[in-house]
Amino acid sequence: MNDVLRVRDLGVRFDTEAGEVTALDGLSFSLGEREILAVVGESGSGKSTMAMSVLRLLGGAATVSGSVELEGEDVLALRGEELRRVRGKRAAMIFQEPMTALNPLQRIGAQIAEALRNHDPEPERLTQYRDRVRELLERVEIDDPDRRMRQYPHQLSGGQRQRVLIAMAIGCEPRLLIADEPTTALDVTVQAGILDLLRRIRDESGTAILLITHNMGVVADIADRILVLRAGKLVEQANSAQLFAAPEQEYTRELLEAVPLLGGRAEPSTVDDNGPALELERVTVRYGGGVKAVDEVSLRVGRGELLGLVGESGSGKSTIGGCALGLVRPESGAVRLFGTDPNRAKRREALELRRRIGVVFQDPGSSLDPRMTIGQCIAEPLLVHREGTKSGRAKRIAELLDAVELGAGVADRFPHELSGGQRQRVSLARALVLGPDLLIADEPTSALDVSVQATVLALLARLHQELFFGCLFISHDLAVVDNVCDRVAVLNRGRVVEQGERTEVLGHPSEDYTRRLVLASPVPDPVAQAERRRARTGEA
Amino acid sequence: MTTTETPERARSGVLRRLIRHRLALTGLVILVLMLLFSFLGPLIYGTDQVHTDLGAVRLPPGPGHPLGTDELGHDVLGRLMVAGRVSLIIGVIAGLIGTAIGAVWGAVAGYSGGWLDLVLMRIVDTGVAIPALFLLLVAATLVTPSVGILAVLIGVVSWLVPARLMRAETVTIAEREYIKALRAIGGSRTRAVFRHIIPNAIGTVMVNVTFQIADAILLVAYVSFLGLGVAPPQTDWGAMLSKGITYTYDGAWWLIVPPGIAIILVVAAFNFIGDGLRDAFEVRKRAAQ
Repeated sequence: MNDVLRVRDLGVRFDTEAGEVTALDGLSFSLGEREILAVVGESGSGKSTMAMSVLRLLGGAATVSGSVELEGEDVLALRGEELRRVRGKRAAMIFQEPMTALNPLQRIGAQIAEALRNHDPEPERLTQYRDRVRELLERVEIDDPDRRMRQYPHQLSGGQRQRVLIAMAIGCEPRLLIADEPTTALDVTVQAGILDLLRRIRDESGTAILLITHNMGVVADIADRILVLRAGKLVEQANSAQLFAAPEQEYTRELLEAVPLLGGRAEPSTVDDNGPALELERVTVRYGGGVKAVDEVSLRVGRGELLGLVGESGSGKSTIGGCALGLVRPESGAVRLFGTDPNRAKRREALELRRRIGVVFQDPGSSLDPRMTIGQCIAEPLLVHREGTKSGRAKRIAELLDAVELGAGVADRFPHELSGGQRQRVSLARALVLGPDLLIADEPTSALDVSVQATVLALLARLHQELFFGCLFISHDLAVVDNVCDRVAVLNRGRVVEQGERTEVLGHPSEDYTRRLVLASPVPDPVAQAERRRARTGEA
Repeated sequence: MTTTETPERARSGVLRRLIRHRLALTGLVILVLMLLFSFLGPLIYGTDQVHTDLGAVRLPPGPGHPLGTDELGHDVLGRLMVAGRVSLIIGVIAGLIGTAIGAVWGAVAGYSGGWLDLVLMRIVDTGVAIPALFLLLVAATLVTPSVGILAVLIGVVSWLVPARLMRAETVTIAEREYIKALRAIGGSRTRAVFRHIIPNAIGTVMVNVTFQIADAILLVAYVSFLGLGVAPPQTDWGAMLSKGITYTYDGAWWLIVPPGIAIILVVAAFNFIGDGLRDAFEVRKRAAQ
């Protein structure tokens, strides 16, 4: 088998204000024709740096050493025009964010045509490439190519935009396709389609694919061989079946164990009814007088119960969280906290109801005020509700920092001195400081690496055991919800399509949409994943 | 990054970075020298800046008068010092007034949103459409400006840009999750604005103050240059320029060059400090992410 890409002893160092940082160190691997090689690792592992260095897309602050051979030619030795000829022609790249990778002011057809003209020895007018563009759009399975060619990026959905980028990438029939987190910004059902497309391109054209991802489920679905990176170094390299079945390195094992499994928790959970914590009754929310973001949704979170709210982007799940928190006012319907509607209650009474809820948001970067110490952040709800003396508050903060396993010592630190996972723990401590009866958690672990996610979820489960609060757990990740929650509600386009006991809804979905969602959620097991793919495509 | 950084040390971090910023340090040094020159200078180099001395008119630089004398016989070096006081005092007061009004205006507009935001910002847009210099000239013809009046006048016409800046900052900060978390547990607007939004916007505001001061000093110079500045025998650098320009063709360069250089130095110094402050705060922001 001919190697399309051969990387030997690749090292990348960045010159930063804080001194030199090594991003990659002594990385060697090769990638053959018709092969899909997945590079996995958590943030900071250097996987994207590696992808960028293959096409020499790193900025001036980077020093690259070693060699990168593309079809026998050393890419690192190329200069100027030679390099331009390689980029896009012999190796093409697909990026994570399809919206920013396309020019919003240019029609789709023209952008694809331009990618073709770039490598045409005798460049013609853009309109001359129309037939070839149509052919490419058909290949990436975009409906009605003639109409799409005349449209602008914002008129396409995220999945369609990613297909356009793939069309641009395969336009010059490169031997190597580099895909850097190509499905991370997409919903699971769309992700499944894109992965199928990449697989088909490989089968039809023999293109080698270098796939960068953090998602072990995606890897299990599509990769032939896997590289595991950690802190810029190669941990393990093996073919897919072997790596998932019998990882050799401790780190790989930990990484795989941290991935939440859909259907991994067998026993159904039983929760006694202790009265309602949160009730939504036929709640409708409309933004800007237009489309209904939430359409007659009724939900109930009992005291001590964990309700998972799952849905794809735009399904209205965060809006429902906003309603519960009083940040969004419903157009009609009622939101009741512990049996009382805070929107209709007196000011003092409403404040008393708000005192009993805590909230954790998604983004560890903006969930804490950068100018406050950790202690001040956690103390704020106490100050808002004028609770405790100064020493009493300090004691409470220390207690909570211990409870979230950070230790009282971090109280004097600032948020930027903590990692993302630590910051989410602080958010959790702040949410619990008033001893709430209801916790609203809006994608609390979505921005975290899997290993960190696992520890934060374990912490949440432990605290729930101890403190027994009701919890509305909002997430796009079915596996996470399956691991955390008692009951599940599935949301699609602002409507609840199905809700019920966790093992019922996710194990034996009765609705078509839920079934599709479950089948599209990738599991980190190549054998199971192949079966699911058959079930999914057979159904379609 | 050390693990036990206290608030004081975090703040001194900004100061340390500011001093390490070479351009900002230059600015600081120039500014301190100009302040010493204007405020302590007259104590060492005493001259009569009130009475005219028609026996010593427009003397070129020489012994007794290192920078010569002006058309009324005042010593130019001494005059440069007292004029500097006026320019610097007006500049700093006006810069602070402009930024303060603008910051409050912008924060209110940005955090309230809705119709109030719309009205407040359209007022700003209208104000921007009218040249500040024009407003100032009209006002200066109506009242004889003293140092205090001129400072307030300039401050009042220069709040528009900081208002826009502050509004933009506020809108971004108000979207952050810690503000949402505060609102969700029933925290008040006052708390959101004073405990979170203003402290987080302070970096931008402080940078803006330095640019505002530089602008104000230039505005004083313009107004005085057009003959509508502070009343004699008081003077400022702009007024000195304006008077000196009459004698250009007589070769009296010492009446124009010294105040010109003084204005350039001080304005540049404030701009350098502003640049340095911005970088110093940005490094902190970068570390926070």
